[in-house]
Amino acid sequence: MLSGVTGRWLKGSPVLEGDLHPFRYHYDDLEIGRTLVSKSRQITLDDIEHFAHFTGDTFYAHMDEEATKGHPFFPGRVAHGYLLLSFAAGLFVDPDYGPVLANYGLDSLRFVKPVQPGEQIQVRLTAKEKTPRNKQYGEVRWDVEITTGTGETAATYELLTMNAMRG
Amino acid sequence: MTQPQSSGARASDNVMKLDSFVRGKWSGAGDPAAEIHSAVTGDVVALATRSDLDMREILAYGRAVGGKNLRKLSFHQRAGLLKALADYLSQHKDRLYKLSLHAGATRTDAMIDVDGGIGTLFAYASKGRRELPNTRYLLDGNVEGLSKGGAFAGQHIVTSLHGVALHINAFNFPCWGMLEKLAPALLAGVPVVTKPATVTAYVAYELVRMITESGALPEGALQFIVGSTGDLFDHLTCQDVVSFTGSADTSQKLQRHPVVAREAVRFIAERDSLNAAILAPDAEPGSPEFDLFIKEVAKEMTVKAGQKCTAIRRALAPSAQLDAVITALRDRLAKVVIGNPESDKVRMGPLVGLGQRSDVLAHVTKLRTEAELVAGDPDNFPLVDADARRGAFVPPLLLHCAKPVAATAVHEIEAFGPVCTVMGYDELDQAIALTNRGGGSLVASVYTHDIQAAAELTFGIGSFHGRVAIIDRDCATEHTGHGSPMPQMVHGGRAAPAAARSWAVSAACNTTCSAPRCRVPLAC
Repeated sequence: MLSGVTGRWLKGSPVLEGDLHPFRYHYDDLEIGRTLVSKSRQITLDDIEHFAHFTGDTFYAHMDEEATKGHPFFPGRVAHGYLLLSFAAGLFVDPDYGPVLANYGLDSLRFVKPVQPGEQIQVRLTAKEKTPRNKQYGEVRWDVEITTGTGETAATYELLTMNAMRG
Repeated sequence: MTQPQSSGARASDNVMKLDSFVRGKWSGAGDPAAEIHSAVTGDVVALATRSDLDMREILAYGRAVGGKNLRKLSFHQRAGLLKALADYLSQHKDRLYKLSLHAGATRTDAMIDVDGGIGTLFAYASKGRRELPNTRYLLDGNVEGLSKGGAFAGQHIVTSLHGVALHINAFNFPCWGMLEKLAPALLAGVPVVTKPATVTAYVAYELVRMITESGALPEGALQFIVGSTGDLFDHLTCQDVVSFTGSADTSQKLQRHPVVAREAVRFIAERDSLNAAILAPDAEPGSPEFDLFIKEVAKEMTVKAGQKCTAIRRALAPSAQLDAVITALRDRLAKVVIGNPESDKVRMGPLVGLGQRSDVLAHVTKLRTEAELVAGDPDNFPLVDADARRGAFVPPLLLHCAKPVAATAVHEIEAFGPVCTVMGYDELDQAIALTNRGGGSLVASVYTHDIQAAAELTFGIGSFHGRVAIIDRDCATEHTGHGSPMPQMVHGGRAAPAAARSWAVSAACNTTCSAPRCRVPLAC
């Protein structure tokens, strides 16, 4: 109801799911609440090691089981937050040429719960708010939530894309 | 409770003698100034006493000692004081519950006042800790570039006022009313001088006793004046803030004080509010929203015997549904057991005093020139464990105004008791116009499952209201009601300019009192 009055999607409001990927809609046609729930993907220790060495981010929480003993946040080695973001993009992106012109940024990113090797992650992506920019395109703010296999929230953020007008 | 009486009101041995807490100590009981009676039995329960208080000195002490002590602390440290105070009060709150019985409050009524007040302290403590920086000032917004090269730039900074916050409180919520103003002022680093309404001053007095016992607040942060404020207004300055809650008459009188005008003293008033509940056209009898509407109107009339600033005074329904609404409300109100709040069976106690009772009945008489009484009889109603001749009892009184467009009294007169007027409307535009005839109110609630109707009503009445609550089947089990305290949300409207007790108001000169803001608090 609040979402309906304000025109901005809120967690808990109804969502619209369909066969067509949300990234296939032009700015004009995209409805607030349009949602994609992705497939799941397991995070492995190999993934974490690979990401660490590839990016150079070998922070101890990802590399050293011993170092996380008694740690206030980490129950053991955990996946990089940026790894989760990257995998999430891989899970929700629709790769073909289409009306989504660019990824424009992230807002309000929070890593809520660490993810350990062996856990599954899944992403929900929901069109939250639209702001027209010019005759060619407009900004779409997507509500994104990464959850673990047990349904707990691992990360939340807002993704901004520029979407083409139907023209 | 006082001893049983044979006749008339007299003081029992354990009558409380109320004195003031000023300049760091209790003033000591002076000459009796006013007798305060039990709302239930009419017995004297407390005496307000008169002592020679130097108002100029009280304000000067607050500014010099309290202000200095509070401004030394960061927002986080001030939030810590509120938390410590709330913890102490929680442990000792039974004292307040016991005294609230004299004021006619049932357990539920007292819970709104006592726990509502303590909960507000906790909420401000938590918000101060989580949402404000650990500094003594606040950066407001981003740096604004003022030159081409970027070497000259501006930043809005919010700082604490160097004055006192003078809080003049209403009788209906002696605890919540005091604490909901105290919390933001202290968080803003501004010391408080608080004055309770006399008729329930004994509850406020006990609360201040507990606050001083807790030792949670720094010296000078709080002073408490029982009885007349004397020439206090003569000594206000441009750094002081007055927050008044009460009738429109008194508010206007105070706001017209020459010193308030001369010194441009910030003056915030929360006064008469003709809050509305609107049943939307989709909510027909049998729908969950219809039932929610009936339940909420009846609840708002009877909780605290209707003595809530947010209580529903006007219930708007589509003309076609009027009969169903009146029948349903009549049935529901007939089940309300009225009497001594000490009895478990009782759901509604008396008004706070006989004076208040005659005010309410006089207002009902005026309302009856435009509306017909359709439920309740002030001269004949059953009471449990109480004597109608001695207590300040009034039954729920439901009126129906057949010509609300032509009427004026029903949109202007606030009968501060269990009184509500039902009125019909033809289409949404008319519902909006009628609602706004209240001239700005604290709360309106809307009952609909139709998003279009909800949006139309919200934007139609938003600028006239401090809060618009949209209630439907989806939030039915979670919503806290039309009028419950929500420290997270701005409390206001034209009746109480939005920033009223939010901490920003007591802060710097570069913040202006913001226009009434509409808040839609209920995520459905």
